[in-house]
Amino acid sequence: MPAADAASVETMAGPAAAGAPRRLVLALLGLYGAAALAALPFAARPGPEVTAITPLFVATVLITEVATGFLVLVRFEATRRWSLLLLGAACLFAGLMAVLHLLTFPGAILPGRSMLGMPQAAAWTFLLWMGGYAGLALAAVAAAAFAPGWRVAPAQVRRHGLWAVALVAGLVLGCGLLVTGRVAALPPLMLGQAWTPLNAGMTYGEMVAVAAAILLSLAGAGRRDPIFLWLGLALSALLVANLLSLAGGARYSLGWSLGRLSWAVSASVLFLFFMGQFLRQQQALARAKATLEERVAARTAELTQALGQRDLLLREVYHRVENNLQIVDSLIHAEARPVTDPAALEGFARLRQRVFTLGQAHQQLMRSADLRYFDIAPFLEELVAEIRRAALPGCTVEVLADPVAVDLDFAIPLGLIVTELVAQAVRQEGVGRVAVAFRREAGDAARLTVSDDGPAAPGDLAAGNRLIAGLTRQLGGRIGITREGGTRIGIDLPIPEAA
Amino acid sequence: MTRSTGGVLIVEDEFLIAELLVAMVEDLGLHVCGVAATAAEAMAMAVSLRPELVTMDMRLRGEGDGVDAALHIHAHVGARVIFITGSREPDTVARIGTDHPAAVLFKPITFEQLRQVVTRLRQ
Repeated sequence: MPAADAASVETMAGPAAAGAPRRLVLALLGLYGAAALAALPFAARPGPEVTAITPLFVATVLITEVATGFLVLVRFEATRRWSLLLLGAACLFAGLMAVLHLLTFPGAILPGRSMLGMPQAAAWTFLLWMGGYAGLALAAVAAAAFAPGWRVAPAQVRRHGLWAVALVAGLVLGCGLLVTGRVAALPPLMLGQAWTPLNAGMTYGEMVAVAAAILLSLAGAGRRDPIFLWLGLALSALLVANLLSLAGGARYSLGWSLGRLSWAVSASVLFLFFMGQFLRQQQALARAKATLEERVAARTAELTQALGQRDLLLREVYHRVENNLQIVDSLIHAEARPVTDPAALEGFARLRQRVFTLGQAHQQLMRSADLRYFDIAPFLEELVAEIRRAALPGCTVEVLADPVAVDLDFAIPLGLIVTELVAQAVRQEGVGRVAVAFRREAGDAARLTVSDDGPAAPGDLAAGNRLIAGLTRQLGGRIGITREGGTRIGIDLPIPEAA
Repeated sequence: MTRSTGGVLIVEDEFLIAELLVAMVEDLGLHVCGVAATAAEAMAMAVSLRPELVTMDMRLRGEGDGVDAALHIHAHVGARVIFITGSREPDTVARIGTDHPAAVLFKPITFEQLRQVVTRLRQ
């Protein structure tokens, strides 16, 4: 994966990622400020009394701030930074307080009056809402700017997140009880439609806190984590909202209405920031997936090709083995041509039969799919067929073999044993029928039997043959001979496990 | 036994194996009319000698293989072709199959194998 992809997948952190967004945020900030300044002279004009503006504004703030708070807390779980925990709490507080605002604001739900509380409740709610949010946001930005390494212990992360949610919920509930039950004990904030000096003073104080948070965001915290850069923009929109509201001076003034709009914009900034992150992560994920698929396909093609090459080379080698065995056979044949002694000729014939056995094993191997294992049954059938062709007329040779997958290490010694035993049997006087059986036994074992119907042979055929005895030992087998209406030679063998 | 069409052409690029085949064919009582080592040689000799049977090695020196030579001989001379190959791999067997060979034998071959095939073909 290219380095740029890796950076964007690994959740938008690091000073390297802050350069381009910083210019964008500052440009947006400039435009927003200019728009606010342009609107300021008209703020005091009375606007239409659109009561629906409050439910719409509350719904926007509630949804975006709660969603943003959740997303910030998810990032807190990943980074364990106190600054993000505080920011998450600030967003949740802002979202939940919007509900209280809806319930206390006259005309928001019921015409002409509020759902809950006294006339002063709406103003106090607004002030607490603004103050709580400004305070928590300032704390978050200060933590990010001055103590970026301040983190929660890994084991405490989940508990801190839950505590933050619980505390915010408690705080909102407390505010609700205060403005509904105890509002009469609080000093008045509104005189008719206009603010009292206390209201204006506290609002100014909150605006100073917001302004401080903006400066810290843009100057310090935003350099480390772009989320605080965008928070600077969100807080600026909030500041503009308050300035316009202040300049409007009364409810339903143009400035007051535009202020609510600006607050809704403020609440949406971080949410849009997270949407942008989500988009980039999805794109990076899709790219990474495509790259991965490409690599898997390329590697598979390489391996398939390598496997094909290996097969080609092996087949070439086996082909040469066959050719060389044919040359060996030709040499023996040439050597045997001038010989007339019957015993010597028989020796040459036996030699050529063994060469044929080796060749047959390689032929079977070349037909197999994996070039390692092949079925013993057709191999034994071919060997016996060749001996049958050379046998005296009137002698039948039968073979019955179970299918067992074997490799050359097993097949060649076994093939030589079978060739030897059958050749001996058919050479005897008075033998009319020879039967070869290779049966799979319980477990990884097999039993080879070669039996004939000839008269009992003088001496011990198998034991007297060094080749048979040696190869049987090589295969880890045991030979047994019984004589009942012929000779029956049985060899018990372990079958090596085919991979 | 009829030898009217001129005997057996051996196509084999390995001298020792060719010698063996010549001996085997002669032991069968047949006449070897020639030994070719390349596909081009085999085609030319088959046209001029008009053999009854051809033993054809699959891999030959120079350009073209046994199948190329056999297809040509089959078309121009009509001789029966016995393939003798060291390779039993499916690809080679399939390629030989395109020529409708009279018989296919796999190396190392034995006298008895050759005798049975020749006897069957000459019946």
